[in-house]
Amino acid sequence: MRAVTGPDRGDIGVPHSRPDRNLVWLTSFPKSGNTWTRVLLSNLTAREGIDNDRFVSIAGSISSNRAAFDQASGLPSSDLTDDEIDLLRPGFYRAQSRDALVRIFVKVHDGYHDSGNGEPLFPADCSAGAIYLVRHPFDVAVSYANHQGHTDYDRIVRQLNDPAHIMAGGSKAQLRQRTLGWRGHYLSWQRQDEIPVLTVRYEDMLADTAGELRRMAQFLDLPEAGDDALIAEAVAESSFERLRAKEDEHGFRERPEATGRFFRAGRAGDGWNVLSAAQRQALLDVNGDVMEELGYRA
Amino acid sequence: MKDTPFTVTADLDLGTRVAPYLRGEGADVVVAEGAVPDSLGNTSDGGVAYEVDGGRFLLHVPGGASFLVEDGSRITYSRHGASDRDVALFLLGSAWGALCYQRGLLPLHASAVYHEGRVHAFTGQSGAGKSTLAAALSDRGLDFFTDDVLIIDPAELSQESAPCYAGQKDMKLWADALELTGSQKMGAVRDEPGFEKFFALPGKTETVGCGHLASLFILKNENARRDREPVAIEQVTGAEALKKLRESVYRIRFGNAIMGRPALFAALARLIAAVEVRTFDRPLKKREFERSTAFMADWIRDDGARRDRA
Repeated sequence: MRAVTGPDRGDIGVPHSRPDRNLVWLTSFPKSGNTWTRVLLSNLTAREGIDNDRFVSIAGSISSNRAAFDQASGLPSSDLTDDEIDLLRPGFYRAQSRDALVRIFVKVHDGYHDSGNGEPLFPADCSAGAIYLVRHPFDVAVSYANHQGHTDYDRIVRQLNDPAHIMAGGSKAQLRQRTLGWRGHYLSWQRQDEIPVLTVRYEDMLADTAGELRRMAQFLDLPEAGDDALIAEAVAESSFERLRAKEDEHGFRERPEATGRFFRAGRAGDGWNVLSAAQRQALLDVNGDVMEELGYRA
Repeated sequence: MKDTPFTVTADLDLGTRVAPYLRGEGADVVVAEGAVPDSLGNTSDGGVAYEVDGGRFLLHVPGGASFLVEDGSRITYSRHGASDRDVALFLLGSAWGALCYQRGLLPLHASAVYHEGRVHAFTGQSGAGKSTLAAALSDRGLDFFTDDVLIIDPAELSQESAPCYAGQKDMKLWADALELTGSQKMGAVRDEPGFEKFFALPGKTETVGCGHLASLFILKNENARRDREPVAIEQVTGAEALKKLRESVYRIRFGNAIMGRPALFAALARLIAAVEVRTFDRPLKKREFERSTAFMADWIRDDGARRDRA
């Protein structure tokens, strides 16, 4: 495919097919395969731009990027309340879409919710679509604890079960993200009908990575969607073994300081071995209906 | 050398942050309450909360005050219910930055300490720890110089020297940074309940408002996540240094829109000739903070001896 390079940012990505809606939301509760998806899409669409620093080349950052918000708004987010920041976020994303030379892939851990004045935080009028990545909550719990650098699984279960669970905000390096909890996150994105959503299970990505990547490419209307050889190459380049080796050699920028390794296990089923029966039951009690909808066994 | 790059007369209490700038009358800049338009109409540039049109700059704080900055000589503010404290906060932030550009000045997004007449500044993205590091160094005996903004007058730059001015003489620290640095907590930065950011008194402060910018440190937190030696200072030169310097410019989109890219770039090119740019990589874990701060304090104290040896 033809790679496009923006003169200012040096990003490489896919040309935008709908100039007025340049943002693709890669949305998930944390530790559900979001980074892996960005790596897969990079290896599929713009492999020549991948570096050993970020492992990805598609344009775009995270919805909670404080520095980008400050640049676009002209205001210091560190002097604004989290609620004031939310009021400005729809405009921030519209500005990103308006300024984009290529399609932008934005990682999102926020649930789909209101910005505070009746407008959705993620405006449909700048959105090309959303890929919703979901993973069994038992495995999310184990991975999320590792990401936070501890093994207090009771605490993690409380976070997944808490509709008021937030990430960052205040003095933190990223803007506040209201996840709405694991169940609330899933339902909020599935119940909205403003932005088209493709739902992808992490477990299906593990079982048939090429098939799921093809589905994503078709959803995004990428020219590579019909090229099985390119998809196979992208899958091979994005294997966990390859990513782990790369992280061992170069490190990985998104790895939290408290975590030994970002690309940890890359498998399904850890939750049953690590969580206690009581912890699994607590997750089931709150999230059972959504787990059943997704075919997740208890 | 002047003590401030311009002087200000204001009809509201701007606190002690910019006390050296304030005059009763006859100042370069007048700050006054008045009518502020919703929009400038046909604008040359704009963002989510601001507009630029030639010599006019408009800023709206969500649910709060609005500011009109004109020709580098006047800031008109409209409260929309905002308190003096909130008006002053945003006036001395983004509106102040726009004022600097209108006056041909280059504001850097940096906090700094002062040692033996030389200013050592720390820059990085919002949340990188600029203010926290400057506060911690002042608690370890180095003079606090400025918080958040450091101002350069490009007309004063020479090959050998980069005079600079303090933008803000009060520190703003989050509650966890206050605890970490031991700085003295003062009033809240915002009137909003639950907003845990406070003005703070540095452990040791230099009252002068100007100095010579010796070094600019880009704050990083990479090594600890890549299993490298976690605390390190590295010099950056050439195009990479210019890139880092550009990233340290305060609200660079304002600068591009108001000064113009060529003038801004020319100012940066002159500055880079007189200032050494380095990265300062360190862990952000609280238990490592003492060690990394001591490392930087020693480096700055040794700066004079290093220059003598050179």
